[in-house]
Amino acid sequence: MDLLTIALSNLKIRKVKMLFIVLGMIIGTATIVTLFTITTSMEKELQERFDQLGTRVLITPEQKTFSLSYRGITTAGNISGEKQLFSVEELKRLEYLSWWNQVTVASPKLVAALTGENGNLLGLGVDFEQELKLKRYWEVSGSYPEIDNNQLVLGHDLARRLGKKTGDYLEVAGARFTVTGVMAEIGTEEDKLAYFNLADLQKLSGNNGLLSMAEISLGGTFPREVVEGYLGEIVDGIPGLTAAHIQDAAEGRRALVERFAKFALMVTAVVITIGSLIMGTTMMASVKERTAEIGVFRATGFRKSHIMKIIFMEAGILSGLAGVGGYLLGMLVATFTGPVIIELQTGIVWSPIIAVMAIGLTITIGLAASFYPAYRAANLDPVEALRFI
Amino acid sequence: MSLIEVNQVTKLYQSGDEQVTALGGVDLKIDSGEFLALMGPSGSGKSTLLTILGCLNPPTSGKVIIDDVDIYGLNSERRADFRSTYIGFVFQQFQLIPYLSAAENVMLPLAISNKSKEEQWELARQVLTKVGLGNKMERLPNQLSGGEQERVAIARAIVNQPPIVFADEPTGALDTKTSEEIMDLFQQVNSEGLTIIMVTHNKENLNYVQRAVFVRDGLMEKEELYQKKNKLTAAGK
Repeated sequence: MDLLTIALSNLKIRKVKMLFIVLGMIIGTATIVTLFTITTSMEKELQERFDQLGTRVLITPEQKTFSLSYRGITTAGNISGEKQLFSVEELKRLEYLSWWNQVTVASPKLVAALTGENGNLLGLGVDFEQELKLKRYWEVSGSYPEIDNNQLVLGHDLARRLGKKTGDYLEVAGARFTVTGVMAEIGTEEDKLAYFNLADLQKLSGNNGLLSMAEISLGGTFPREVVEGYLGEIVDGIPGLTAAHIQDAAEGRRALVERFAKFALMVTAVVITIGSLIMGTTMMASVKERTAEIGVFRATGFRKSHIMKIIFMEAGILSGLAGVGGYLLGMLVATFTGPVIIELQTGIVWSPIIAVMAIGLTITIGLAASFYPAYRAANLDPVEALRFI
Repeated sequence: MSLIEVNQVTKLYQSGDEQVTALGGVDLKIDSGEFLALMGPSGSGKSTLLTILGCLNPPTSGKVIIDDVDIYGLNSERRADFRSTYIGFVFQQFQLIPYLSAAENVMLPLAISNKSKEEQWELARQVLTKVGLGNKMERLPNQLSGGEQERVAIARAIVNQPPIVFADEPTGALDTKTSEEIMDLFQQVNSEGLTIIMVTHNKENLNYVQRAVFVRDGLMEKEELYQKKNKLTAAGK
């Protein structure tokens, strides 16, 4: 016989009541675990996405009037005679920037309006090796074009508009091009473009050595202020060029994740408050029910600290069980609801940190909420308690 | 030298605006091995005296010395330690813990000792056998009769081998025959050297004690010696 036996025996005799407390705490813990697991999984997914994308910067000629938009950045279509293109040499000047060694990909591009078989089309000339490092989502049925072989790839919508498929020929600016592939649908302006090798399009459009823009990627994720500093170096240091931070769809996702994380914190605060009140009230009621028993303990020689230990052991056992149960239930719920509710694609993260935190938090709440009841029990006047008899 | 010495003990209670004197200056000496009854009408102060003697209820003034220790000079936790080694209690209505078996109830005072589970179990077995319940150790209190519950309560009070056992109306909830059995048991325990101090209303119980102290209005009214009435003495045991 020891204090733990007394605590366990008391819990056993009050099975139903204790089961309800544990269930209540399990639901509370599960709610917190679900929200935090989903948040963690979203953050991980987002981080992976950012890591894949890197930090993107678009370099364009400095312009005041624009009409063409590329990935949210206006790039071409000058109607006031301003400079639309810049030279490859100008781009090379960027290599003297202090942070250029962090650039992992630099993909120059030329955008040009061309005359095709069925009216005008917009051509995008890229260095496919570099561009594919940036556009990991590109999928093509067929293959990407080779240089100097009069080959091109059509965007999904353009191919449909022109009625062309892989292997067909297409007259562009008086030259005959082979369609080596058709891009899978992306859902953006990119579906309406014809894709050339950069050198081919420069030659075809009479813009040898000229570029419309260059997209560069810095490895990893940088704080917004750092990126803005880098952009400032281009704007201030390289005349004629300007730079913009590309706001990827991932940025929108980041906002969603941040909102979700705040929501999770808010719900956690509510659950902790309610859980503490339930636990505290129940333990207080339990102490009142056991007044005579506590009187007997005290008369038998139990110290105040022994009484507190018994109450804390009971609270610890209950909340420990609730912590484990709540973690498992929460993970189960997150596993099934995560992909459906917030369209998680990477799956749920089984984090030992969340497990330890969930169980630790539940036990802490249980013990903290039981402190006052335990204190009251320990300080019951034995004579008053025995008078209860 | 007496085992217990009570010197000018008073106990005042506040009841609303009124101050009630529960004990008005009691002097009492109890020798080791004595079987003493505290008698008196309801509200006379005998239960208050019992709780004060039992280290549970600090007096308003006066001293209680047990085995040379001024018990109310100790702090509350030290007094708890003193209770665990010096005192066993038998309560009215038995007050067994309902979710513990007879053996576990008996082991309760040992739960805060350094004794191993095996030692505790052996001690519980020995005392339960002594009170005639060696075959009912695993029973819960609600599976025992009133007399059996009282026996478990006595076993619990003596398992730690304390020198003093306090009993508050131990036969108050029992029929005559069972009361006699319980008093026989108390007498047997007393004959083994334990000091027993019992609050009782039942005059029949005086047949078993060596001395009775009558309390009235918070004061000791008189005391009577019963050496020759003691059944064990009478029976030549």
